[in-house]
Amino acid sequence: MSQISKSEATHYPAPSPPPHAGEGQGGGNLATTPTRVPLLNVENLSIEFRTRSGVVHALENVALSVFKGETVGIVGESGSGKSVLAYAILGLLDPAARVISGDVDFGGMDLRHATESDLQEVRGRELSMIFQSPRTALNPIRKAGRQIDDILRHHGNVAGPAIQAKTIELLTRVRIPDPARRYHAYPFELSGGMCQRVMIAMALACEPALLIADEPTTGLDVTTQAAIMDLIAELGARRHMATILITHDLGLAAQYCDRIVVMHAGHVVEVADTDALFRAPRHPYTARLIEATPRADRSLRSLASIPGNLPDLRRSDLPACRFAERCERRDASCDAPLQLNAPEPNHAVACWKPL
Amino acid sequence: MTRLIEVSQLVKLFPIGGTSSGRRAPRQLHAVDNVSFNIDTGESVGLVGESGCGKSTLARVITRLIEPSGGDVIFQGRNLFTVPVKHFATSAERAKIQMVFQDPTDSLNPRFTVFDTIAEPLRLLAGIRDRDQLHARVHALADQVGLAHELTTRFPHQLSGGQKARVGIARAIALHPKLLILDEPTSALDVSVQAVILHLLADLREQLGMSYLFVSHDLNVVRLLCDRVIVMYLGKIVESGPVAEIFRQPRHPYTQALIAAIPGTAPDKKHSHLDGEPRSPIDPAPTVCRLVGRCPIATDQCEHAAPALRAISAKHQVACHYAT
Amino acid sequence: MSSTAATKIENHPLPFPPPHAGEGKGGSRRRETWAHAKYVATENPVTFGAAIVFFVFVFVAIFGPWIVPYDPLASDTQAALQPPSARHWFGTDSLGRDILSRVVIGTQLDFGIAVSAVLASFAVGAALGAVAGFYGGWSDRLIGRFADTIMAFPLFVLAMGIVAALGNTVANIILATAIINLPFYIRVARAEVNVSRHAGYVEAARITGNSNLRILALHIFPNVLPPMMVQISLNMGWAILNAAGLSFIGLGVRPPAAEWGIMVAEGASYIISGEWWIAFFPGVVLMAAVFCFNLLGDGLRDLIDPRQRT
Repeated sequence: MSQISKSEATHYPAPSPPPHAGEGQGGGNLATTPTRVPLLNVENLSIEFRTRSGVVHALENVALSVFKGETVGIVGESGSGKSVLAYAILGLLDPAARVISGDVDFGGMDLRHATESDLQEVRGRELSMIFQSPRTALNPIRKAGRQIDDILRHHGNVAGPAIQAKTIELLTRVRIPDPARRYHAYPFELSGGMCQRVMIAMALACEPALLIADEPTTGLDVTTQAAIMDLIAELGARRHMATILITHDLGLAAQYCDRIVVMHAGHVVEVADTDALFRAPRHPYTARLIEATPRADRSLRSLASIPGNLPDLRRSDLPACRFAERCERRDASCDAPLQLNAPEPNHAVACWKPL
Repeated sequence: MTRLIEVSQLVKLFPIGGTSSGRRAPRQLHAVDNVSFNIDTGESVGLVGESGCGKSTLARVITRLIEPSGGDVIFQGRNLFTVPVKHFATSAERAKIQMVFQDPTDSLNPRFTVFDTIAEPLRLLAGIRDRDQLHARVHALADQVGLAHELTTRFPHQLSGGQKARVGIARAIALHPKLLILDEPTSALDVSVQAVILHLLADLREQLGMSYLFVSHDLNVVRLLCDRVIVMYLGKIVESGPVAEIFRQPRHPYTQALIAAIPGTAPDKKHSHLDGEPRSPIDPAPTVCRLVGRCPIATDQCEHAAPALRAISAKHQVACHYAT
Repeated sequence: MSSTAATKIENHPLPFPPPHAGEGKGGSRRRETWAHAKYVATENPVTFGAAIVFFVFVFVAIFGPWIVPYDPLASDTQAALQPPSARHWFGTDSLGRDILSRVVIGTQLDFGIAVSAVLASFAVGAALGAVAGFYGGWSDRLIGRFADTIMAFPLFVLAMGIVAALGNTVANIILATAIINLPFYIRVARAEVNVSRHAGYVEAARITGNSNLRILALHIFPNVLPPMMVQISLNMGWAILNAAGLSFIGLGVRPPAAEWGIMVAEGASYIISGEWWIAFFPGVVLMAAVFCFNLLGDGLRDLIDPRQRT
């Protein structure tokens, strides 16, 4: 298996302080202190799934660091493994999954080897997640307000009688209109946007240090999407909360993230500050992805596609670089085991022939 | 440019709460409320709006998957609704108006091979029975959409998302329709596959001289493929005009909010947010503008007279009292 | 928060087609089903066992008359009420008939009744249910009332009533069993068709020029057939029990025909006096048949839709 050298991972300089809400990237400031401890540190994570049609090598040697207060975007297409990564951090993987190697360190706590009860303590309190399809992620037969109550009660921060009041306060904070009435609403009575706000309220109820948002706005209208993302950014900034935004929408990542991690077929292929990534992408896949995304200033002719298909992750003979077979820059040097190199500070790429 | 299709005062109402006789008239959901627009031959028109605006319903009424509650659709000089629904499936117009669906997985019969799926319209509407002729036509279509011949014997679950999308397109263009309605054809696809399909659609339009009605919520995609854009909100058209003009200078407050909400790489975009929830589409008051309650520039006048669609330039129309 | 998070990964579709896709041309689907069947068999030994038992039953039902050691109807009062022995594996009954032979012949009768009844019931019930689910409105209401009427009766009592009124013939048993099973198929077919009616491919079929009837017959029906086949298998066990039950109370097949229900009835009175084998063997075989059908139905469901695994 290919090795990503650990030294590269710890050489990430700390990014600049978090931006104000809604103003997107601000990460160009190259700090000089190299060893600020990350809030979340994932190293060398490799995960397999045993399925009926074979073993799926879902993640290989994935490394990720998130510092306090920053927003990191994980960008990739379907099959890139970004959701698997999120579930792995939270310990919510499917029973068919096997973590072959790697460490997940969250604020000094080893999440990978933690017991289930330890994980339950952390989940919802210091480490939270909001999911795609908000309406299906909420319990359909339980009132929205009560679901938030459950979190508060479970983590014991608030005394019994005060719970309902705190819930309504949370609903107000996520800008749900008429929160006292919506407390008693069932998820099917709420629109997609409102369900997502309820989920945000649940996730932020105990003021976590890290929020993982897995495609939080897929399926929502564009105007609702903007409102929800602004809300997350604003609430996060107020508490100096770190956020991981998982999305396939490059434009969304560009607008709300300080740093972006690009994933392809279970590999991390590029990590950079948002500005730098879009100005000068170094990995051929990233460049292609940017060119394939429809944008305001682009014509149809300049819209590029990516040749070939994702490699079948069940193959036992997967090459060291999983993008190599689709890459026109490929040559013999690409067969060497992959490593995350850093051609510039704050910019890492897993490619032997970066752009 | 000749007029291909003329939609006139189209209305579609859905009764809410069941219909039992002996009670007063049931409440109606105004999915499409007096919509009128035209499409010329060879033109590509985008239909945008958010969920609940009625664009999907409108598309389905035009293809006669749903019957209208009122209004007309004149296609090549003939009113479509004069043909009873039962006979429409076999009428000449059926072949000329076709549709590409949103979810390629859902819109392909899981028990039909790719060949069966593409051959079906040829068998049913073009009356081709000869086995060899069918094969030739299906393979020609497969070439046109970039589908390898050996894939035609596969079943949908053996294909990738992009391949399934191509099959749906091949089926839709099999009879060289004059009007192709595309209902969010790429929203279920990855970005890289989407790019390929968009190119394909652009090429096909040129090759076959079709008109497109491109229904989408993704404004960036509409911008690439369409000449004109129609913006809908709660069943009504709020703005329509040439693509470049609408994007550069949207006049209706809703259109402005929609365009401002597109996540982009420009960090200095001002968000003109629409706060609040949309009004109810059930029995809406006819004298109140549908955007009241969310509109940043609404006044009393907006609650007394619903604005009509008026032209503010040669091809640009807006339904707002205050659009300049 | 809902705990569906962990299972979301499994349901997430893979972005690449499964292996062996497209190997061979038309046979690809058959090959894939066969591979899947082998997988189900090896992963699920219980189903595999049930399938083996099923095939044994079918073999016996078809070839019964040629493999019986004795004539099932021949009585031999000298050898009456003999316990199981080397000569008579299952013993003999009060008239000296070999019970093993009678059980074997009974297989043919019981299976025959069950299969005919279930198929008839399925054919009519599925058609009615499909029409009700697809067209809705009056047809739905009418067919619904019809099914409700049947279900208003305790079904076994209804079967008894039908056979009592029309007479104790095999044909009438089949008819009665078919009638009482109708609502079951009507409901399932109606529900499946009602859901499929809104599927994307049905809309697409309308656009490509299919009439309503074509859509129902060629598009919807083949897609709702698999889940209904599971119901058929489960229903088969119940139909056998039904036929045997009717015979047990004397409203079914008439003596001296060899049928499991009659044999259990005949043997019931001898249990007290110690001749347990007369009722035991037909009873066990009856139980095995019903059990085997039920397990097979579960396995069939796994074959067709693994996500509904029990």
